[in-house]
Amino acid sequence: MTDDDTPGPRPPDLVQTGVPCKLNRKIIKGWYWSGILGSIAFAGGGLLAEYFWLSEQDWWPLPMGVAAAAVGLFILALGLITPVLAWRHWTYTIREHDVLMEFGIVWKTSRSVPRLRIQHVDVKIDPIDRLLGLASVTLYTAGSSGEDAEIPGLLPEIAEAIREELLITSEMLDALPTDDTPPVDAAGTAPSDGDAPPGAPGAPHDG
Amino acid sequence: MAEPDADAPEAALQRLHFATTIAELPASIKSMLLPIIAIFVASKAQATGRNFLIFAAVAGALSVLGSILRYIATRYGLVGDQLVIRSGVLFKRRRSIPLQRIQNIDLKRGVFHRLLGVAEVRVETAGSEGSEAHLRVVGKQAAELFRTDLLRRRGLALGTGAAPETAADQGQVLRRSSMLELMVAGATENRAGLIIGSLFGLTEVAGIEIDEAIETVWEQLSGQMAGLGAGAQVIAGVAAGMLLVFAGWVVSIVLEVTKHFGFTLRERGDELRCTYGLLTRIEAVVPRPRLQLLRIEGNPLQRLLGVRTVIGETAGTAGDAQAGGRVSLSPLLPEAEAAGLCHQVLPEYDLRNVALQPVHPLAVRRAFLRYTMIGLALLGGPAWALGGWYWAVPAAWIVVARVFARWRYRALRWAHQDACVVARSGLWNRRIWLVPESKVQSVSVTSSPFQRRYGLSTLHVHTAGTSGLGHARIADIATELAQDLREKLARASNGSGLLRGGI
Repeated sequence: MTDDDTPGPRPPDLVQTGVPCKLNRKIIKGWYWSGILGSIAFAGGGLLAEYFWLSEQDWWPLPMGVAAAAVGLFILALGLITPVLAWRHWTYTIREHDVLMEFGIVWKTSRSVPRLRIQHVDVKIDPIDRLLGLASVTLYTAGSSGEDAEIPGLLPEIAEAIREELLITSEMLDALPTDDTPPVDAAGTAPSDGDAPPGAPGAPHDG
Repeated sequence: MAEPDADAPEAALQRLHFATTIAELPASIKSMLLPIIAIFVASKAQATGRNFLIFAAVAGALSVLGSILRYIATRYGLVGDQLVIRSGVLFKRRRSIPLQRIQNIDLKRGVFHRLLGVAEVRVETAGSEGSEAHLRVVGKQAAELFRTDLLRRRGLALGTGAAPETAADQGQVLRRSSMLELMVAGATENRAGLIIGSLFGLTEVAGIEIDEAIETVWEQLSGQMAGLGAGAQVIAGVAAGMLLVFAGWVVSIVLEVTKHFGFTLRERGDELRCTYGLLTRIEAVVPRPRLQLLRIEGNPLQRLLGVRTVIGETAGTAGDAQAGGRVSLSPLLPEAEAAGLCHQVLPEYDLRNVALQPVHPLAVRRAFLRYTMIGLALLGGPAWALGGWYWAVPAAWIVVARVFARWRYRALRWAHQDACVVARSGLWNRRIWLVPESKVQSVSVTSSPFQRRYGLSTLHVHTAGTSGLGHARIADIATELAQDLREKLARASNGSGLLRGGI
């Protein structure tokens, strides 16, 4: 316990901080499968509805089921093209102060989740993930619902390691002297004018 | 005081007001209504009404008994730095809410409550829906004492300077809405359509008589109108439509005045309190640090009149008083005073000192391209079908699109200074967001294909509590700038001296 440099229970090699990481290549297969299954369900549903029901309804002029099937095929085509591109454009970086995710082929997004804002971290394994031996990590903040940040396509041990890393670090940061300030938000505590809120140590304000 | 809540000192917990039993009756009767109707139908088959009457009496007695039992089972009180609520007749439940987690406290008094001298207390937390505390009926004085005590203990728990504690001290008035302002607010709100719809719905619900009345009136009218020409009929129709719109407008004004009657915003130390309502009085208390962002809004009509609405958002769970933690800080005020009010509400920030910057000039081109394409997609089809001079419409649209794109560019403004982000947007509905850095939960930069074509991006700033599209965003700034801002905001948000996950 005298050696302070030991990073504790965290396996040091699994999580690289400060370096953009790619998802596991196996996720491409996973995306293929979910695309194929989704489009089959959509197209099949449309065709079945057309065959058994819609075609007998005279109030419905268009062959909607066929149209649905066509849309399903379109989704299938997209599903065959996009996964490789999506994988190529997906990176996540676990940095000192935040988790940065960059993704998107047509609509590009880069999302930054400050570490101290992370309320809890989920490791999820859905059925396709299980077949491929993958997992995903979801970071929850108190922010707008639906904006939870998910990193898919991780090896389970890496997902666990990321969770550990994020939790450990936030505890360590909690122990930092920055928390000597009263545990309230910076806004609203100091009525005196011109006082910059406490904290924001490494962040120069926009000049 | 090691574990004050481990085994509740029951003496510290108190009962609700006895009127709870009466207040809960309508709800429990409603829950009994379906069985009663079912039994009514069944008993009708046996051709006697007596069975039904007996069942109805039993059901009524049961609901009265239920509300009395619930009244007896429910206790609430402050234990240490927690709000404890014990409830449930068969399934006992005990809810403890740490006072630090409380977002806002509302006292609501409907006509019924005011007659009985009681109030409804609603305590909102930032948890998931249904995690708030709802004390159905508390005596008015007890409610006020409870709130004062709660706020005082909350202040102690947070280590902030507690507010002055005499209940009589109402605090300093920041804003009082005049009757005229409320009327203008009602007149400029986009509620007319909604109200007309609900009027029609009401006639449906109210049933046949109104329908028949309308029908007879209609018959008489059309009988008279048959003598008029087609043109006159159209004019009469338009007049009737306008009359409806006008009626909706009047109703909208009346509703707004009733809702926000006597709106007063006060400040008392750390707290903001809004008091308003003609029939239903609401007293909402929002601890200042719980405000996540401020928003100044103005729709085209309001902009024409030079007035605005100021809204604050808390992370509170959706209550029926204010949807989704929305706190109206002023239903309406002159545009010039909006920034001043924001400064009074959050003294650290002053919009008047903020130098708003324009977005990237290429935003004009991007918007022009988008408007043109949308317009051509909508207008091109009909023009192609009709041919000839109808092509003038899409052609004219291109000119209009250019003008709109320019206006949009002028509307878009942003700033990042003095530890807050300011964003302005809206070609028609103007919105200005003020987001303190310390409230930022996550930051995203997105770019659509059209934006990328011009090297532009949109910065999304997410705070707690805002749902859907309510978050602040800065559209069409240069991608490098957006990424840079994202980086700065993430760092600032991380380092703002908060407990982990604090809101």
